[in-house]
Amino acid sequence: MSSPSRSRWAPDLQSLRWRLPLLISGLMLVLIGAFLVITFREVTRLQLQRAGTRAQFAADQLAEQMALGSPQRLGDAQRLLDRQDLGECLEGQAPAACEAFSAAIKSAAATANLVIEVWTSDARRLASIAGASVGPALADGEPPSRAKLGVGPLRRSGQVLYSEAILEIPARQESNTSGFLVIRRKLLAAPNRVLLKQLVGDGAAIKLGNQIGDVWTDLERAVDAPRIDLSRPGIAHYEASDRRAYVGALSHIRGTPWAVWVEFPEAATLAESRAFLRRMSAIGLGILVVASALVWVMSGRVTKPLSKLTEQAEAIASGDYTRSVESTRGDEVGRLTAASNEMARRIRDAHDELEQRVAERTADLAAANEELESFSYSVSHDLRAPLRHIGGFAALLDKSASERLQETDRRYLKTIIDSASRMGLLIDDLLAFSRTGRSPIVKSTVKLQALVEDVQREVSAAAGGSIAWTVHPLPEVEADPSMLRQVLLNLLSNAVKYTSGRPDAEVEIGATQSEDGELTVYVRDNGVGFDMQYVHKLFGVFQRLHRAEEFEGTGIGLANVRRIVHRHGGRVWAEGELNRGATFYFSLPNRARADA
Amino acid sequence: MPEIRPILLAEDNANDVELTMSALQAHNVANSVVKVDGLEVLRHVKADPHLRRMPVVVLTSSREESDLVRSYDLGVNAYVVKPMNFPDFIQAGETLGAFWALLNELPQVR
Repeated sequence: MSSPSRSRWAPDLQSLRWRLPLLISGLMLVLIGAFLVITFREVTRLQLQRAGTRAQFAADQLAEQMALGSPQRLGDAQRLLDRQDLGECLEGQAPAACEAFSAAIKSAAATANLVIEVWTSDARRLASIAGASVGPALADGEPPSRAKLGVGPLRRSGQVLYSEAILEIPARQESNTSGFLVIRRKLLAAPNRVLLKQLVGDGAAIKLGNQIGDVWTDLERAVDAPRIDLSRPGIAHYEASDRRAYVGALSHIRGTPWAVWVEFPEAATLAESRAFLRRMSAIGLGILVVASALVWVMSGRVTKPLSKLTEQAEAIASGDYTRSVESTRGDEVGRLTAASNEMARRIRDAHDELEQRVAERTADLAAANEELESFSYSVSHDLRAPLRHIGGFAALLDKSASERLQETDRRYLKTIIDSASRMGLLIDDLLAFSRTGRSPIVKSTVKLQALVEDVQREVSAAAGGSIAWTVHPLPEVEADPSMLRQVLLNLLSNAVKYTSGRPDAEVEIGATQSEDGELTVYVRDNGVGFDMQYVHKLFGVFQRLHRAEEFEGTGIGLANVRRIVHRHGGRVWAEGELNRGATFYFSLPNRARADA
Repeated sequence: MPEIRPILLAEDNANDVELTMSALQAHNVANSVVKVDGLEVLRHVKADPHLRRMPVVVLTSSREESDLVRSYDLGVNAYVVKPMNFPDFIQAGETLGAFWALLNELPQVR
């Protein structure tokens, strides 16, 4: 979660406040982009299709016009065939005989930019009437024949383009001589070029040529044929040698081996759809900006209460139950806010109730403790006084009436005095035991090794006997030093006490550390030991496994050991065998847990 | 020859008066059985301008820390726990008597 110090405008990508708008804007960007790409392609396709249709229309019109022009011209030529002088020319079989025909049509040929030739069927040229300089004498170097009747393909001679038509001159009745009339026409004289341009519009180009693709013209000069399949009329695309793309349409001209091609450069066509794309992009960007702003505002409306709720929850987590979140909304966010406030209130109530209960319990506990203290005070003070009186007056009686008493009487008195004295000791030990339970534990780092050695010196000085001590290396521990000292004092003095009858007394002290860090300290002796059958009595108050006459003590020491170790979070246990020695263990939890 | 100063025993228990008197029999002891507890007597003595320089020794059965603290706070001069064992008690009485009646010096101005 963002810290409150973070600037509102620094993007925090972990926060829904930013993630939601960014995600939605990103999605919209992708959608709008995809929409634009698809639309652009569709519009482009339609534009190209439209341009193709337009080109097709123009090409069809042109082809129709040209197809109509062709029979007309052939019809004009047909009229020549009926002339008397042509028949005479053919029958004469000599150029001289054709003079009259030539002279008659010369002016017409000049006007129409034609070359007219008369050939015999056996491939002799009888006459050549040139109205203009059009091509070589024989277009393909072959004399005319029946196979080549009709309009022939376009031909080229240098920069000049021309077409050639061959007609058969039928044989007349009186002779069976036939021949051919060859008419060549210069192409570039087409007078209606401007008209054609108007028909197909600006930016369009018209090309005319042979369906076999050898000769093509743009009506001004010779050009390459468009790189399409010229045998199939219709719309087509191609890329020119300058790598520019064109869309156009091809139409075959009826009655001729020619085709007309109308084309538009695709770049010009696409300019329109590019403009469309720019317009749509601007609109898309506008929509994106507006929508992003809306999403930002909406995200704010949703996430602001959420982040307030989060802050409230964090405050509760850190122990502040007083914060509540204002919301007048009726939607899910409003309900969540209300529920959260209610939850916080209940937690606060539960917490307060718990606090109060703890305070009450603490007060109860303090009262109980106080009662216990006054009880132990009265035990200490009020119980000891009469006991001291018993002992004191018995002693005074012993002194004053000693001579008058029997031996038995004096033994009675002595028993009274000893018992009172022993009871005093028991009361003192009980009080000390009670104090062990009540005084607070103040932990610090204790050097166990030094402490053990110190206690060892103290008990062996008091014992006086010769004991073989073995002290293994011991670590530092976290414990109450004076209490730990008391534990060791009890265990070591017990070891000394219960080995006192042995000439080869041995006491061994060491420690082991378990995997989870629990430290176990042991004190082992080879003294009188104990029967494992009674091990459960060992650590009880005033429980003794040996007779008081054998070993002194009240039986409070091990009870004290157990209480202190338990208060440190540890355990105590023992192992022993009668007359073979005993081992006492106590454990302390590891440092980390002791510190906690 | 040092002056043997008198000792005043203020005790609320008659048995204790008798036992203590037998422990202090070598000394010049006056006794008074009081009806209030020892701490009250101590408070009264130390609050009185004429009595406050008089040494007060508490002789008690209580080893409670709270009793020790309260006594010293009130200005006690010594705090002795009565030994349970009668011979030890006699011994303590003699030691105390010797110290306070003979060895201890007091200011002249009372």
